[in-house]
Amino acid sequence: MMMKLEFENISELRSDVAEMLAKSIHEWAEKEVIPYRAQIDDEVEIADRALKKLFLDIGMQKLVVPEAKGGAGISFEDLPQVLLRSFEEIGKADAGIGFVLSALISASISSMGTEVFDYLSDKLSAGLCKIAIFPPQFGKSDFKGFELAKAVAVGDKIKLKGFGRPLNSGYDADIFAVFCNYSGISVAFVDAENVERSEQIKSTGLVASKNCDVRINAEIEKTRILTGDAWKKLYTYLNLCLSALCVGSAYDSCRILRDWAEKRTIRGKPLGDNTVDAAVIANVIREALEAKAVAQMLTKIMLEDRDDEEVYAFSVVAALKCSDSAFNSADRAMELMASQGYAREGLLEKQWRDAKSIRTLLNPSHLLLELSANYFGSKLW
Amino acid sequence: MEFARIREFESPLERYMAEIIRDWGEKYVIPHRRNFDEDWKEHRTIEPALEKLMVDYGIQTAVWPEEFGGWGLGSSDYFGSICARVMEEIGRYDTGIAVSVGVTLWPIFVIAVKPHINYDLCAEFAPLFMRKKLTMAANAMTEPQGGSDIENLDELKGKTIRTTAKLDGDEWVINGHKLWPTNSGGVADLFGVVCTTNPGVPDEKNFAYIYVPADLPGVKQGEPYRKAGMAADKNSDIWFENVRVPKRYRAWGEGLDAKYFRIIISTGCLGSAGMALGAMENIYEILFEKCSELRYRGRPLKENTAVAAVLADIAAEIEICRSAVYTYARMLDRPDYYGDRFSAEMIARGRALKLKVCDACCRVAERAMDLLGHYGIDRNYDVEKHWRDVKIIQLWMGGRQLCQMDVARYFYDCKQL
Ligand SMILES: Cc1cc2nc3c(=O)[nH]c(=O)nc-3n(C[C@H](O)[C@H](O)[C@H](O)COP(=O)(O)OP(=O)(O)OC[C@H]3O[C@@H](n4cnc5c(N)ncnc54)[C@H](O)[C@@H]3O)c2cc1C
Repeated sequence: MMMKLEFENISELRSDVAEMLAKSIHEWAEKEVIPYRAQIDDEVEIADRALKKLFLDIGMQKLVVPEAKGGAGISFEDLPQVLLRSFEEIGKADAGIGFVLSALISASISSMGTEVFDYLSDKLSAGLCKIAIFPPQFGKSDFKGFELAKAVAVGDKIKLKGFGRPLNSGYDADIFAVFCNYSGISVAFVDAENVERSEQIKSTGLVASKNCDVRINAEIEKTRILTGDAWKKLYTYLNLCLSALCVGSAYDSCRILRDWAEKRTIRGKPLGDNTVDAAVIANVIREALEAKAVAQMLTKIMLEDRDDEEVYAFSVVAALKCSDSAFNSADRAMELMASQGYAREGLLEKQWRDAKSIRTLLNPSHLLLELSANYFGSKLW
Repeated sequence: MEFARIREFESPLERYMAEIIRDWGEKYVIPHRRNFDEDWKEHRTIEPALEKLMVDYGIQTAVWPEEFGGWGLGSSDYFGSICARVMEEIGRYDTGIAVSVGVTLWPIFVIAVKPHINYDLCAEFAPLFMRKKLTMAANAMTEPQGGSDIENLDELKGKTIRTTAKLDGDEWVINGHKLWPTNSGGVADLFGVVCTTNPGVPDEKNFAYIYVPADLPGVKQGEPYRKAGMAADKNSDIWFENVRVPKRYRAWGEGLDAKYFRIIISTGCLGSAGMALGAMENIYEILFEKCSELRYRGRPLKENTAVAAVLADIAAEIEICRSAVYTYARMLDRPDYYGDRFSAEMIARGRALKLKVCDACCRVAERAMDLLGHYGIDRNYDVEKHWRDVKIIQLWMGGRQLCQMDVARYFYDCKQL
């Protein structure tokens, strides 16, 4: 008997809200994304339209916005499971849209309980909104080997200057969450009108995330800045969203490969009945299952009362593992699908490009050093 | 910085070719390369680059014997080395152009390379390529039900080929459906078509390699497919519906077609490895520049030991691949020392080379992207283009698995693979 590819999350991570939302996202994917997937890269309106529906009609943009302001008001206790399930579903459809949403959600969660959150809630309930994360850039070495935007207090305002490339959506974001050097490492929220943008950059994948280089030159209220460990919270949630997104992507690669392999004959028998091919297929599904296990573990850890540092460090491991898995599943599935995997119409190559983009954007070489610093105390910066 | 090259193996023509291709690449490819992806269907900038190389520099005439106006590459003691060098140098600029050029020479190898030169067919088809007009060829093997099994000649002996050739008086009548050949989609003027004279019967005698001019009645081609990369290579469906060609258009005849067709496998592996090597070298050049420029931990990226280690791995892969490619190329140069280019031994060595060099190339491109972070996925940095392009080199010609099977079969004397 052939087992179903879907592997339900462990029972303690299941919740009615998460399942309800996942169902809506699944329906959204079936209607707005799947039928058009082969054209998404060439016709930008498809991703724009689908993103808008997900953000506004399904309300993912307002997931943490209080109910009083028209949001879903999901509480901290429910958030990890909801994010896990939602992003898994989004990952099966379009990683680019999920990537843009990951930035928005993690930036808004990191501000919960502060004045920034009020400002963001207003923005997020007013209409379609995108938040770009402006992480530390290649350059000087003022934060873990990278360069932060410069923040200087002038009276009760803060002057902010920076140049570089956001993680996502630099070209069309409404708000920028800027990593800057204000009383340690802080995240400043800057409206787009204070940001000068270059031409849009053409990129390998994640078409929904329109990016470009930006020059930030802003004067903001002190209430628009998150100090302390907020940046860590932002990254922890970002890592959760991206891990789940990658799980979805890996499962989709498995599904595409299975649909194809069922019909393919090699040496007079079904592809998967050749041991050499079965071994590759096994690796494709193994990657997906491993990613799923790690993403669930992260979710569970985030629900427990744990040290933030510890959770953050594990989220780095999870994001690395899940993005590796998403890429490896797609890459090895392509190996078996040969030309059909490489063709646009085969749908796999999009997952392949998107998964590789996420992995590259996570900056794996750097993250590995961070792990060494976290777990072995390596003094690297 | 130059990777390993044994100077005493290098022929004057090879060195000359390298120089002109570098000059061509800088002038005709680099200024347009970043727009090749958008040009996948029209080939507005790709075709002039191809034309320069094929017509003005004469590469389309390279394999044909000198008496028919060609360079006589097929009779050279540097046959393999020159093929590898041309693929390497073009691949450094664009592997899509490399395959398009390589595949134009490919079907000709069956009839124009010593010791199997078919002078009648050379006389028939060489003039087409001597014109001062871009003239391309294609090698039509793959069919909708699968490409690998057709190439898996040693085991399946042509059993799965569905494109049929039936003799009707003095003509072959060809019927069938091919897909994916490089230079299909309206590019090629001449096809080398893999057919069977007796469908479903595993016997190399039934394997027929027949030349079919693309403009004959009954030849129909589809629109090019959209792919992850390789914009300079057009691929589409080709239908042959009662296409009639003279009997003499079959390359050699019963048994011999299958035998000499195998030069397509050995040279295909060499060409694939050569172009993958070129792509890796260009990635190295880009990394050299960018990792000197971008700063991390207060110093150039390349001056960080973790980064330097990855850069070293990349350089090491290229160094070793270069040596391997030219070792095999030299072996193909000299069948008098190393055996026929179509022998099981040379095919196994070629498959081993393709397997390793293509894996290395994909790994190099992946790691280079990761090192560059944001810039790794930026189309302005060209690394990601190579990454998208080179993946298919690993997958075509039966993919990794057929390579593995051919290597195992020869090196371990397997009987049931
Ligand atoms: C850009 C591009 C250029 C191309 N150029 C040409 C060309 O010039 N001419 C041409 O004819 N075709 C060409 N092709 C097609 C290409 O060569 C085939 O796609 C390839 O040979 C694999 O065939 P397939 O796609 O039909 O996959 P299948 O034959 O269905 O193979 C599927 C998978 O089965 C596995 N497999 C293969 N053999 C074995 C085995 N013996 N045992 C176990 N598993 C095995 C491999 O993983 C393989 O990838 C091109 C394709 C592309 C994308």
